[in-house]
Amino acid sequence: MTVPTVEFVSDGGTVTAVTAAPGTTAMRAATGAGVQGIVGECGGQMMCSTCHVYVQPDRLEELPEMEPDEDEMLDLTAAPRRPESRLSCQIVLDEQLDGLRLTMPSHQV
Amino acid sequence: MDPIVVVGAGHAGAQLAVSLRESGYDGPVLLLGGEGEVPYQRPPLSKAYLHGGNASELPFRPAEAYAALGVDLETGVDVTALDQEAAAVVLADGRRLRYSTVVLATGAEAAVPPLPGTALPGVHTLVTRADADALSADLAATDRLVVIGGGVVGLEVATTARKRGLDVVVIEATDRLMGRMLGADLSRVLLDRHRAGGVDIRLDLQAAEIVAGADGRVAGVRLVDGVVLPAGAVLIGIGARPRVEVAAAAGLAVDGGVLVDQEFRTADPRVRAIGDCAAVVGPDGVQRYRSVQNATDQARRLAALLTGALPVPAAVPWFWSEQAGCRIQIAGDLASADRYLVRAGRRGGTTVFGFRDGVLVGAESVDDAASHLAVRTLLAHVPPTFDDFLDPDVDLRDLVARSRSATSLSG
Repeated sequence: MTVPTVEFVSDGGTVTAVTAAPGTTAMRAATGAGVQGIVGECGGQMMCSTCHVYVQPDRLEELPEMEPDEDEMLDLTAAPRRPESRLSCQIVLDEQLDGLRLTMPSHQV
Repeated sequence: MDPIVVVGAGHAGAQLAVSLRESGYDGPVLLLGGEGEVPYQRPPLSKAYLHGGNASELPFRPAEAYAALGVDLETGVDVTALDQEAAAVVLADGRRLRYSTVVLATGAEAAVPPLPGTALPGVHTLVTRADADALSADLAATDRLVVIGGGVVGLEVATTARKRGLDVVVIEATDRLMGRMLGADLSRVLLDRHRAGGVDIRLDLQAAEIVAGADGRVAGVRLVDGVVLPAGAVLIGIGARPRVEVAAAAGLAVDGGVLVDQEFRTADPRVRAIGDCAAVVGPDGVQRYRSVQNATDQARRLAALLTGALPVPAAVPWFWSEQAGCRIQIAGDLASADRYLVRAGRRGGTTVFGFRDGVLVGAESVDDAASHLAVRTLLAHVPPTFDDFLDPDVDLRDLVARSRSATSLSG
């Protein structure tokens, strides 16, 4: 079984690859590995929008559709929303998402 | 070089250790936790974790991550005293560890009312993971829970216990739920939602005694009117007391928390305090917020102060709770408002906005995360006025855009 790896790209271009147990959210994978640029203040309860990421556009469709709550919160992130914006606490990693690249915005709060 | 010693490895202490490194500090950091566990998140303890959640989901980061950061983490360590003259912390096992700076991040403990029976088996408070495990075991062994106190922890546990199939009664001494945090309107919404969810809520009622059964375990709660509510488990949720014993014994000023200035300094500049145990003296008086956001915000700001990194502006205070199937969010300082406006969210839910002298100062929401987030942004930039809200169709996102651009123009 493949352990999914996710690549976090900082605003400055530094890439950090993190492996995560399947079922872990991208937010928890990042905070657990100490990736700077993902805050996740509410612990993944969709309360704070401080785990905003830009998903690599060609893999955006592989993610489950976002809930209306997430959609609304993305209108109010600290850094600008883009079409490929998601909250990383809502991205559950599995084998299919292996190698996913997530770019972090310049600031989260 | 003596380390920065952080006493307490909860949200504030663990964040401080990490933020020191992120701020560029490369000296030794010693993080001392009183519990024998890797630092973990507390909000799930009354919710997902209590419902049967996975313990591996709780830690902020794995134990190895602290070593990788060069943070020396010791858990299961009780600090019993400060020796300010020697600049050392004294541990329960007799060790004395010198510090360059010591930061008290000892948090808070549950308050317990002066009632007979609070020490009986089956009577719980909830602050730590061990508390949650003990409560969970008792919830599995009974079908009746009585909660004393209609505040956040009590109501979140009541919700979880209902989900686990128990009969739940909440007794609250005042005339409304979450009275210290929520205004009357949302408090009533919350009451309705809990009752609709099958929680039996009794307001304006006080417990007189927690009574034991023949087996010596808790059997019920006797109320002041003499009625006995049967219970196989009791949760006490009447608030928290900051843990200030070490500071007080060292002769540092304590008043509803360890008194510190706005740079988190006690009278001894090498002793600082942050998080739930701290009370910050500022121009508007003494402030003590008890929230995850406050703990982590103070930790980030102290890390910047200790390392000379760029100052981190104070975050807008915010707080959340999930209970009775609703999401409650509070931002800013609603208590200081002199005028209120209630508005429906775009997708249902309600937000109460508060204004002082015509300017937005805070808001509380039920099921309206977008309005909540908007208010946090508005308060961090140029807050709008009451008049800005007079148009019932005004879109908060437009106000946010305007507020942000006003800040960048002026800044």
